Amino acid sequence: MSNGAPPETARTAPSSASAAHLLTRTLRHLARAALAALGVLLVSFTLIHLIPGDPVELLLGDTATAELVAKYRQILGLEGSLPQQFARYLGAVAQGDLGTSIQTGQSVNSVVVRTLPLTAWLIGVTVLMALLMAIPLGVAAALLRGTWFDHAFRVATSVSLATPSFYFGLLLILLFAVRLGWAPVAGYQPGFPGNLQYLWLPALTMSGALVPILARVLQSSIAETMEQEFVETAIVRGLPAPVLVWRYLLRPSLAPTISLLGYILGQLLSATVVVEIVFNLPGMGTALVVEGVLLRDYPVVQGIILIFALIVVAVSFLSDTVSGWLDPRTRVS
Amino acid sequence: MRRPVLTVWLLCFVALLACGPADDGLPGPTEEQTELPIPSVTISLSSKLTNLDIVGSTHQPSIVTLYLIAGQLFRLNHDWSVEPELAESMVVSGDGLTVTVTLKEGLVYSDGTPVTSRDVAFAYTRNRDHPGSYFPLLLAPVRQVEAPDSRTAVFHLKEPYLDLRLALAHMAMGIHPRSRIEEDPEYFHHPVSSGPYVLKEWIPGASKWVIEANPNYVRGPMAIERIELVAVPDPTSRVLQLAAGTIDYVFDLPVMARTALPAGIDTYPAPHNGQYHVAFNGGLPEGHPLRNAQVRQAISLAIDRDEVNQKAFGGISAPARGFQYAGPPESLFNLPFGGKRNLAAARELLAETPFGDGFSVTLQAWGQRSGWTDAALVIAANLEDLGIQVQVEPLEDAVASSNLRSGGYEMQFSGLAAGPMNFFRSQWIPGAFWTEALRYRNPEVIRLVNSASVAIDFDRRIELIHRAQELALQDMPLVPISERVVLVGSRIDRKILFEANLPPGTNPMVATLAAAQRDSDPSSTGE
Repeated sequence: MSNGAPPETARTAPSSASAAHLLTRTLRHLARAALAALGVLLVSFTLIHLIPGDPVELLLGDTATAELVAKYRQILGLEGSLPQQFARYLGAVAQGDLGTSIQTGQSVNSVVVRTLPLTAWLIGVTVLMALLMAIPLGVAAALLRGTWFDHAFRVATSVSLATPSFYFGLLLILLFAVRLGWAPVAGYQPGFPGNLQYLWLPALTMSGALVPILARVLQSSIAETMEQEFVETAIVRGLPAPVLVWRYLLRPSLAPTISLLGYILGQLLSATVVVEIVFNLPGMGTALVVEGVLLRDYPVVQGIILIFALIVVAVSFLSDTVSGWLDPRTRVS
Repeated sequence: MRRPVLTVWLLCFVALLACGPADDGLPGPTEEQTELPIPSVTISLSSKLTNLDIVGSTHQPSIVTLYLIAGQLFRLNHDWSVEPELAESMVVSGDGLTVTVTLKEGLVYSDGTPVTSRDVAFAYTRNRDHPGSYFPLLLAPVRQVEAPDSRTAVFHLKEPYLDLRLALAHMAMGIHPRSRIEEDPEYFHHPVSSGPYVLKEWIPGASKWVIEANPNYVRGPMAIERIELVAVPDPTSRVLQLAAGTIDYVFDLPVMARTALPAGIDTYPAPHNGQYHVAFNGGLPEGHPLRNAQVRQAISLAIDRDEVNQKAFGGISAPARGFQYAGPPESLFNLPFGGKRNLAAARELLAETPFGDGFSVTLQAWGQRSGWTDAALVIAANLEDLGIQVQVEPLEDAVASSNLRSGGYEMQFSGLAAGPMNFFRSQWIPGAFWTEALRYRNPEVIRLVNSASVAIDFDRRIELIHRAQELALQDMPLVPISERVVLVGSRIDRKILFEANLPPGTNPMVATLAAAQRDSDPSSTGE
């Protein structure tokens, strides 16, 4: 039964048990991450080798003879059966070597180092921007249920969800970059805070798909929380509106949103591939498609997909942890 | 209480959106740049620069950059003539087997070290010894190159080679210092230059790289002092960036962009020295309709090349009249009816074959290329009038290319670009890419092309190569469609870029920039 306090005050677990629990959880997550990485490596290796198109033919162009192609396959270590190649690759990855790009001769590690910061920035700004928009929208939509705002919210989120990010991005470029001149059309200059000038529009594009989902989940979650007795008690006690909204409504309702955010990060990463190309951002998504897939640069594709997978696993772990902090009920399992 | 706040917030947002410049159209072009030198321009290409070594440098960014940063003995002109760049003279012996090239006096690289004939000989031996694609195509007739003194390079040939000057004007024969290449395995990450520009910033695979005018270039100073090259893979982004002014010159714009760009931005076709064609797989099983030469000829007659040009390429790609693009004397305009569609003749021809009632076939297209799938669709509609049901299959470049090699296709809409003789060698001489892709062998055509390649007398060469084209017309191993052209968009005065002075067989943009010398008179070039 509720005692009129929000759920976080119910935390009473002994600290030693908590530490053991945390250790077990961490180990379980690490094991899961290792398995996921292995699975991703196997799947990405198999798929990229199965699709037609030879990196050596692409490297040497249409003037290359069959003999030259064969010679280059040997030089680039692409000879041998697929299991042999995979075993070689796995051995290198185990030592932290993601391989060497077939097209540029650069190490894939250096490609990741060069492109990861931009993608991380893009995702970070997107998540921040999405939360800044989704939370007020979700709260407002929950508090104003059945009003014109609620209907407009539903229509707008449906439209936003149904709009492909490349198209939404082009519309935003036309409006904010070409017409209003508030942002560069494309490109990127590293260095905070100047880089935000290049990132806000792509982040807004990605938020177009993220905000509706987060806001709707938050709206439902708040609606559910509003039916709890402790909320009624708080209202009866006459608590100030900010305290009521944050402590009694928002905080207990945020956990599903944060968990969801972790789970849809994979989707967000795939969105960066499209958005980075539309906005000409030299991040991991561009590298994956332009340097990797189109040129059949196997090591680049495999390396970037592996990093993507590790990021998803890490963020999933983080979001579980944050959800647990926000709402202890989610820590039970 | 909350509702008014929300309403005000929304109103503010709408008002914010409505606030734009008083002129809310697209930004217009920058002022025409006629003051020379131009300090800096930004140019977009469709992909990244991945490699600057001649081995593996088959992608557009590599070709563009290599031509700009490496001097050659000769440079190509728009009419396939060559003019000396690092060479001062070239003397051919009476038997045509020894060619002596003398370098200009006082040549130095961008770092001040001298350019010597030893480097010229090394450019040849590196092509020969280092596995690469260009040697068989360009330098196979050369047996050896000697450097008797610092300014003299002697080319000993296996057979007379009329196109040696053209080969020496190819990027594969770019001159780099031998000592630096031998000492530094990473030399091609930071090469010095004997050409118009020198590489300033580049990380292999990065989206942007910068070149600056080479102060020691023998034909300098350049009209443009600094060029930033950026990879913009998305065509729409290229259009938007050109419209917004963040890019000054775009190579390969979608044709629709011509009408979408603000007035004043110059858009024009740049010839690519090649032709689009429909390739037939000669390795299909016996009894397949496409193995029948008359069927292939009927297909050629049924295709409306004008319609392809208009609908797929916006009218900038001149319909083909022969197996090679117009211009070089090697070209012979021998397509029946001047290449115009003649459906009645096509039907008549097809009726004489066992496939007069029509058949079904798949036409692959390089789906990433602007207009190629549209062209394939127009051709499919044309062939339907002949009773041939065509299914168009757009493919990724890597897949389309792979299918050509493996024989995994029936018909494919594709294209070839090369210099006049290499254009024919590429598709009719065994071992060359297109010959193998087409699985085409005609011993007499091979003999004629080979004889033309080693002919000392130019008229004799033309006669032989024309005969080869007449024979190939009977076989019709591929159907020529229209000339390969790329749409360029530019904020820079076309006269400065010498767009009318494009060397063939290379990326037009490269030569344009390389030719843009500060002291030249822009008004002297035609448009």
